[in-house]
Amino acid sequence: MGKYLLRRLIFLVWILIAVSIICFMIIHLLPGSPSEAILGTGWTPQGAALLNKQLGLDQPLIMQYLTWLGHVLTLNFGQDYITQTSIASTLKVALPPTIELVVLSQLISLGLAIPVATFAALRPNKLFDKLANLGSFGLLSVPTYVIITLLYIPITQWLNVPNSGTASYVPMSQGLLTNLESLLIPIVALSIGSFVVYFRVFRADLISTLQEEYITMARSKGISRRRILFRHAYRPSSVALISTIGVNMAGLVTGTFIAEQVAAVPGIGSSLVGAIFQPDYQLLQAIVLVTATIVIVVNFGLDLLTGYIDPRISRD
Amino acid sequence: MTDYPPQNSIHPSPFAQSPPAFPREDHSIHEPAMPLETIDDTEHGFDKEKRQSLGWFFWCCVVYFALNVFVALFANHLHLTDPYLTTATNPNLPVNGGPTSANWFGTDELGRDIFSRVLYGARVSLSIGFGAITIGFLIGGTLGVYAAFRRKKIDAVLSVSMYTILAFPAIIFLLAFTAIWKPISLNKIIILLGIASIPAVYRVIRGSTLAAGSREFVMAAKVQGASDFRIIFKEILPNILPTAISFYMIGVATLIILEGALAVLGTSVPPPTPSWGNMINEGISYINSPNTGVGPWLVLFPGLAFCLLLLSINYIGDKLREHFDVTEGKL
Repeated sequence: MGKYLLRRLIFLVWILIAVSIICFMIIHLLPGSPSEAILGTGWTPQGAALLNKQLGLDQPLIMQYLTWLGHVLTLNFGQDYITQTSIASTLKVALPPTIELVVLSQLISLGLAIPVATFAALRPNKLFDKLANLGSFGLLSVPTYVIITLLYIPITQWLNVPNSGTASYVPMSQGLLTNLESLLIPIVALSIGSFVVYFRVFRADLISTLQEEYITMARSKGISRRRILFRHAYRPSSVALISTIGVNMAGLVTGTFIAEQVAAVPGIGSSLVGAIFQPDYQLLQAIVLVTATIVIVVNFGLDLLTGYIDPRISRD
Repeated sequence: MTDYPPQNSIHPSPFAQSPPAFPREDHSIHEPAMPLETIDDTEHGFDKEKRQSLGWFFWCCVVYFALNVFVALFANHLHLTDPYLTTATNPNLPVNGGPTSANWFGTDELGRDIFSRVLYGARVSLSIGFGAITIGFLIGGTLGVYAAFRRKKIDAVLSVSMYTILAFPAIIFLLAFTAIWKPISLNKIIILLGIASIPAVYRVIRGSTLAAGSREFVMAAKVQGASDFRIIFKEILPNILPTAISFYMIGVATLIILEGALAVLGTSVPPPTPSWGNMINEGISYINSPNTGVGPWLVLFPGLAFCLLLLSINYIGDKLREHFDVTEGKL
């Protein structure tokens, strides 16, 4: 485990360095000088000279990178010269709704996928399994942005859920219930998208686990079905599920950005799209860096978790 | 389209027909043995039957997919309403109108015919899906075969760099690059998505080349002194082709979804080009204001077009994979 941890840790640091270099280069890849990119339409020769001095843009590139990295590591993303606010405070406002969407949708989809997949896997090829399999295959072809747009009319007009329309986002500080109501459509859409993936993976893995000889052995010893599932089947089968959560992160981030955009939730996705259209390259740079880092670190955590659950992985 | 070659010609194995000496552990989910519930014996004949024919639904998907390709290629010869015709040139056009005999799918906020825009939208989705994955296969596939064949240093370097890119959350960087590489166009989107798909293709192709390269007939060819060129093109490539084809189809579907996501966020091919993602992006603002009386057709039809095309591509890819899938246990 120690060696595995070290190897994963080295890979993590290496990826984070690569990400930071690419994010740093965003400003320098743009046509024109970095000061033109940062100041945008508010560019003046005086402002540019001041900025060059402040950010050390007259230094060699490697020095600029190291200074920038030092700032970023202390969560100092600097001043946004377009909105005249500190970028860190923008991120602090934008992160909570995004995290809420991601965490809730993952809890719901996993909470549903595990029991439903178990029920299907215990009776493979029977009616429920076939229906669930067919339905999930069909839903796999429906992108989250289609699900979310198709949910609007049923939820807002037929079910008449209050506060569930668009542009009705209520922060959590104004009451949890209204907050959840306002996020209902994005959460449902994201949960469906993730549920389908988790259900399919977990069902397939559980069916093959239940065919293993040690399950037959446990069964012949007269161990109860519940105990076989919890003690013998879930642990090996959860490895594939957990790796899938990591793989699914990319789709989840995409879905969350779109859900935020569609439901006008002031989260990271909305800020990113706003930064693209502004264009506000400093904010863009900070968001790309922070989001990518979070995704990579979560994947790293999931990797360690699979190594813990299945020691064969970490011994390899 | 003609029938696919039977699997035995793809995987020439003298053991293919004979039953295995020992009933090996088979993890294929399509052949459930005996979990906690008993299964009647009729289920066991099912798998063999299934692999002989692809089933009627497969051919439905192929027909629907071919229809999409046809429409994408010949949209301007089909005498459709001009997808760019707005109320600016013809003030009599209905705005946000429902489906009628003149506008089968209704019209959008500028009076443009949705039916015609959906049909033209197939162009964007299909050209991006196929264009990008082709770039991915040309670069990622070549590198994958090369790395798996050469092994040693080149493989290590390539694999580390590919896994590095693979660890990046693609959508975030795609969004960043659409912001940097302005003005964005169809070709640029194809190139960006193509580059994004390289590491995934590399991983799959490298994996199956490694597996194929360690088979006996490749060693036999090596021992006989066959050239590298011959081994790669005559021995390895035919054997990784089934995996490659089904991954190609799945890649097309994935990239179409990704392009749609970029378009819904408004960072893909710029409007007024008709694309399904753009149409959903434009329709969302109308769906969101419930009092305008606008029906769901603004997003329903492009959404449906997405789902049906993706379903047919996914099903074709999945069926082909299943059809060609010869696990070691069955040899």
